[in-house]
Amino acid sequence: MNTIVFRVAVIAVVVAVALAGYFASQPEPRAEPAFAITAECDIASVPLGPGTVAFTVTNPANKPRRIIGCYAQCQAAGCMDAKSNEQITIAPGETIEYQCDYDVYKPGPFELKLDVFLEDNGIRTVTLTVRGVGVAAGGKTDAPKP
Amino acid sequence: MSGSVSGQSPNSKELQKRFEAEAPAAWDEFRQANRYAQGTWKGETEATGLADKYRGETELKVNETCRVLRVTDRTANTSEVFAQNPKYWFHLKSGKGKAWILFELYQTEQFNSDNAKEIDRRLNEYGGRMAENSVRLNPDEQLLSELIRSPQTRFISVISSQQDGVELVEVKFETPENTNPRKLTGGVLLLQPTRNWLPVKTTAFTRNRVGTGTHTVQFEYLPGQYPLPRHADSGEVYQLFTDPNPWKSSSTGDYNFRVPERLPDTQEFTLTAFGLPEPVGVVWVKPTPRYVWFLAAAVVFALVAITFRWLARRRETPSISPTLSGPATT
Repeated sequence: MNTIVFRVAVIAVVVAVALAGYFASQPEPRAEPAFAITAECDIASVPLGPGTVAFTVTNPANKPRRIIGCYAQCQAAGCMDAKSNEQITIAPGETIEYQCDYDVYKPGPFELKLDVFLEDNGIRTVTLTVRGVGVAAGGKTDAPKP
Repeated sequence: MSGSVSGQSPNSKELQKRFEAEAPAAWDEFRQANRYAQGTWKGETEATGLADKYRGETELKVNETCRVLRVTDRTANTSEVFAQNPKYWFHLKSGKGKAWILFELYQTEQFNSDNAKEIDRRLNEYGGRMAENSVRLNPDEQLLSELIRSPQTRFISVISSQQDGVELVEVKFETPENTNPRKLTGGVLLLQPTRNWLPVKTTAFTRNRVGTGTHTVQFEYLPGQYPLPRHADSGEVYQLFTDPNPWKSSSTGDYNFRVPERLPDTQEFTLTAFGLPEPVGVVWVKPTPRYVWFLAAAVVFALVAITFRWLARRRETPSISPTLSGPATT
């Protein structure tokens, strides 16, 4: 009886050590390459009021990844927000145009920002920036003179 | 609290003394006992000018360091989540059957005292302290204990009454020196002294530069030493100085709140709990890896094996005892 118990125990020890070795040797998940994103855009002179701007986002990873959301911000000169209010999945190797709506309220130079949340080895926050000069109906920019 | 009691009988003065001594302390005790109360509120609201009734549901979950609030508009079938854990704060939105959209995310290192206060304010505004609604005064959710202890509060009367055989105390007060933009001018509290002085009904009167308001809430409670609300009906009437027609709203709701024996794990307050990845750089303490358990099991098996082997050998060894024996003689 004791011999049987001893043999079972020895086999169990061997199996346990083998399993422990297997799990210990499993590699950590490999980090995927980061999204490639054109985060800044100059749109030169634009009339006051609403408009649309697109940012290029490429997923170089081997698996689909998502744009999970965004945080719209307003400055004194205007506001910018994403056109879509849903998650956007980008296929492996695919490049998309991430469309944003902006609204310029004041003539003169402006800089509008939007925080975008990307599924990028965890959630990474990227700030998209659009710069330009708002032009009133009569061509007035009120831009600061050099 | 300060306060003069004009025209009250000596008994009323005694009652006021008792009320001032017992009620604020009982409310503080109630809040402490129910600080981890959590559950859901389901209700509906209708108001002047609102085409459809608002039907909503709010779920609150808390532990020692986290809060999560899920607010569902059952008319529009949309939900929002506001959550706070030791590493970050986030805000999600979802449309009809759609996946969660991350709307705001602030990691703890981004907090300064101002935006931490703002986050706290928003969590509270959307229902983060629903469990203690009964010890706060609608509409500004001022703690009743603070109101009673405030030097700005003056008692008009404190009298005892009965309702369905239950002893109640009615407290009429005014706050003539309140300088807030929406000024609480006074109110009436109908309290149950035998049940932590919890209000059966509160009425608050407000006034601002465009009109006056009357805000009432009636509570029903669960049984228990520190009874949580079971049901509440509230109503608001605003009378503009420039419009003879008042604006009215009424709300009714059922609470299903309790203090759980085991508080929810911190993982339930993370983005992962909503099927989203964690923010870059945020690492939660992982459970012990499986290989550690296998190694521990191996050590235990080895010890058991050695023990049995030792026992087996001990049993097999013949015992030797000295005996005297001589050659056999025939």
